[in-house]
Amino acid sequence: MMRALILLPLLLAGCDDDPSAAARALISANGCGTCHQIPEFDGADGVTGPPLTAMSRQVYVAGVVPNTLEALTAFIADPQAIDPRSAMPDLNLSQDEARLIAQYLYAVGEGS
Amino acid sequence: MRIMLVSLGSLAAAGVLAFVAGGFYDITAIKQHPAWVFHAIGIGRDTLVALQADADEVPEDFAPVADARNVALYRKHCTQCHGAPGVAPEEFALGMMPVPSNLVAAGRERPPEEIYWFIRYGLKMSGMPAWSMRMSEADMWRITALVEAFPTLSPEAYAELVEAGPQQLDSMTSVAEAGPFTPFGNPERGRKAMQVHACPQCHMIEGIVGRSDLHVGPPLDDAGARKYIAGVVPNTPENMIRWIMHPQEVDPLSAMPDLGVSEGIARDMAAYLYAIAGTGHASVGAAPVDPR
Repeated sequence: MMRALILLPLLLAGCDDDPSAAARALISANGCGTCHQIPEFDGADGVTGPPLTAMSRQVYVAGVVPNTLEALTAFIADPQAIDPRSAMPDLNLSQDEARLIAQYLYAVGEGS
Repeated sequence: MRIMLVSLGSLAAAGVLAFVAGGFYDITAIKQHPAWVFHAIGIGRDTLVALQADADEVPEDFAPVADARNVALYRKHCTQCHGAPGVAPEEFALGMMPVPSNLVAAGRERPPEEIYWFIRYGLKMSGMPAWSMRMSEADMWRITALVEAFPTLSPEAYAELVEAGPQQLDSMTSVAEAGPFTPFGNPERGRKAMQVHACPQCHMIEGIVGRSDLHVGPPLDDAGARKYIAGVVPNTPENMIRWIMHPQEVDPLSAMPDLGVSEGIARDMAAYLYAIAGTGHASVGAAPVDPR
């Protein structure tokens, strides 16, 4: 009980480390919006790749594998591992970074 | 007076809604409509078909013909649901609602232009598909000729024709000649072709009524303007046509299925995609032009 009380403020403090802010920073730094439409992102209106405006509802990732958070993370981290012919560039993101972006895309837009 | 009519109408609509939404109307395929609804639908359908079927001219040399080729065509496209003399429909079709019509009876009761009308245009909510743009005119008339010949064909004679004919027609024979190949695509025909090739089952497409929250394939409103097709090849008219016809040639892993689209039809579809994306070459010419 005592321990939980001590831990509680720490947990709350952790919330300041907003994962969606981290994801937004990654999306911005990697220029995702130059090729994709991304919800709640100024200037992210590219038409090179498909719109990412309803990612949580999408049936497939990249039109080739069933859409799960795992598959989306894997595709962002290493697109050619999912589809060797994909035009999506490998951005050298770590698994954790890719997961942050995938979670963000699931959380925003239509169907979120 | 007008207010009274409007309120009466609203009341009636609300009543129908409550009736259906309240589960008082059976929408399952287990039970047919009440007899009076069933007969009312039939009368309405037959009146409309008789009126509309006159618009399609029956070829001058038309005659009922039961031969091996017509039977092979019929077996490829029709038996699954309708059965044939002495042949049951496929298992899945037995539970359809409405039960697909018996075409021996249809051949007795309906003139050729009506049979052709059903084949070409299909019938909403009946399970009957439109074969327009997926079967050649000639083949639609061949099947009409067979249906008109059914009333004089014994199950035994039908079985002999099945034996005599090719067991499995090349699936593309009838489809390839369905759309005339033209050097320039016709966007309006492309729009219609997308409907009868089931594109709205997976895609949201501007100008085609469908679900507004469908995300199986990408929305196609901007497909003509996107830099890549399927995220794999540069967007050129020639690549677009190849992609529509043979998706796995472009990307073997793609979930987009090969729908047996003929080249002329694929060109029309591409023309429609470029038209709604406003890329400036709605009529897909023979010479490919980079859309960007």
